[in-house]
Amino acid sequence: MIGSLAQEVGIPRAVAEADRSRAFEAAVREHQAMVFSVAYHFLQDHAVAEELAQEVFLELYRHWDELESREHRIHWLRKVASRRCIDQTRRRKLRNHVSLEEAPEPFTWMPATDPILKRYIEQLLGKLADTPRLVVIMRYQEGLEPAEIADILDMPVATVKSHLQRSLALLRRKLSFATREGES
Amino acid sequence: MRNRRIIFLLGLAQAVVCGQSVKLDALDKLADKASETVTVSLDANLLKMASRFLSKDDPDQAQIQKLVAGLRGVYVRNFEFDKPGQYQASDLDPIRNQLKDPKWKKIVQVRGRDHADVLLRQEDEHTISGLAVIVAEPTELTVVYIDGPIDVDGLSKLAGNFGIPEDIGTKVEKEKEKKAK
Amino acid sequence: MTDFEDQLRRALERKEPSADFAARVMARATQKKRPLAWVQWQSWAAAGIAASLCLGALGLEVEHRHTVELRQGQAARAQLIQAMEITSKKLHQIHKRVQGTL
Repeated sequence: MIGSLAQEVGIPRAVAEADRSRAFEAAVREHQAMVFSVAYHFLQDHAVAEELAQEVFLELYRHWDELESREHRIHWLRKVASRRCIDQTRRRKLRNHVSLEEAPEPFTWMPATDPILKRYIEQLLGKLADTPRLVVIMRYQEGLEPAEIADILDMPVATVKSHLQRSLALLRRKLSFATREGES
Repeated sequence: MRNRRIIFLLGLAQAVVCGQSVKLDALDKLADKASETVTVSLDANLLKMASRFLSKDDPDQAQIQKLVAGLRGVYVRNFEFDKPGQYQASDLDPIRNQLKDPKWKKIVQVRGRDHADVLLRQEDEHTISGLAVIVAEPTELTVVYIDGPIDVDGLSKLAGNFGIPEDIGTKVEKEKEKKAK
Repeated sequence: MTDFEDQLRRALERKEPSADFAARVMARATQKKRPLAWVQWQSWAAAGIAASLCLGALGLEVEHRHTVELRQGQAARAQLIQAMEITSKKLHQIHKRVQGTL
């Protein structure tokens, strides 16, 4: 968009390209935490999440002129990041040999301090199936409403709500053991 | 009816031997009957490669990075079966025979519906060179052998992140003290 | 929002990637654009096209090798993490059994 507008008013293409790069870099810095965090909370792997986040931004660069506003870019980034996360797990084909239901209750000596609980919650999240995990991330990392999540993940609102309800019940049950004292 | 044994073998060998000193290949035939199989075979080169990709920002991965430094190999066979009776205790004989070396000391033994054994390999009074644990359950068999110098303190610190019992390190120290007396 | 949801929200707070993340993205984005930029300068077209083709080919080759090494390393890392998870899970089972008999 910048390039085409610039050309319309006669700004040389090289200058327009430089402006485009600067605008793109600003967008990367503004949204890198969001994109990286979606990938990290989903994949539970720092290095792979960074690689995936880079790929998302490179795709943004290719589609830059099609995105007309900041809000449009954010929506697009969430959508593409989600899709790439799902693709990534399919490519990796790791056997998730312990589902959340089967995940053992936390160890009785685990103190219910925030950093440890936080880490435990991250690990529990990794045990959710792909789609419910993304739904939980969109809801609690991004603060999105079910309708917005449905739009990003391209599924019915009722399905989003169902995923949320079931995932929260499972997570709540597993987490309740972590904060219970004297459990044997 | 005899309960199925649970043998969990986790071996860490500090012995100055080239190549894998406990081989798990004899178990590979069980994959035909297993509904799910996990096979991990990482020699020293692959371990170095894997270690480079571990994230220092992730506490679990950072701890693993420290633990695998100096290791010569990590080998896992994990089989899940749809029903009991898909493997025999004798299937584990080729593994057990390799642990008959007097340097292997059994420090934990559990018998019941599930069986478990934890063994340590000691090169001398002060050097723990291996850790072996075997767990055999009715519908799951796990054999892990890790070849290389064992960091018992590091192993203890992994407790709480991956669930390794905190007292494993303590047991090793007690073994050392007992021998020294 | 309930306490539990508060905990979830805290656990899922956004994290920053590495400090040089943006720089690496820009390096990859502009590396691919460079050949097109060179073509724009007509007075340098002959040498520029040749140079950009060589640079482009080299860049693609480096990119490919980087990707292959990355995939191999990631696969090995995934296996190692899985091995450690299996190990720790089984040792935890043993620990629980031992605790139960004490």
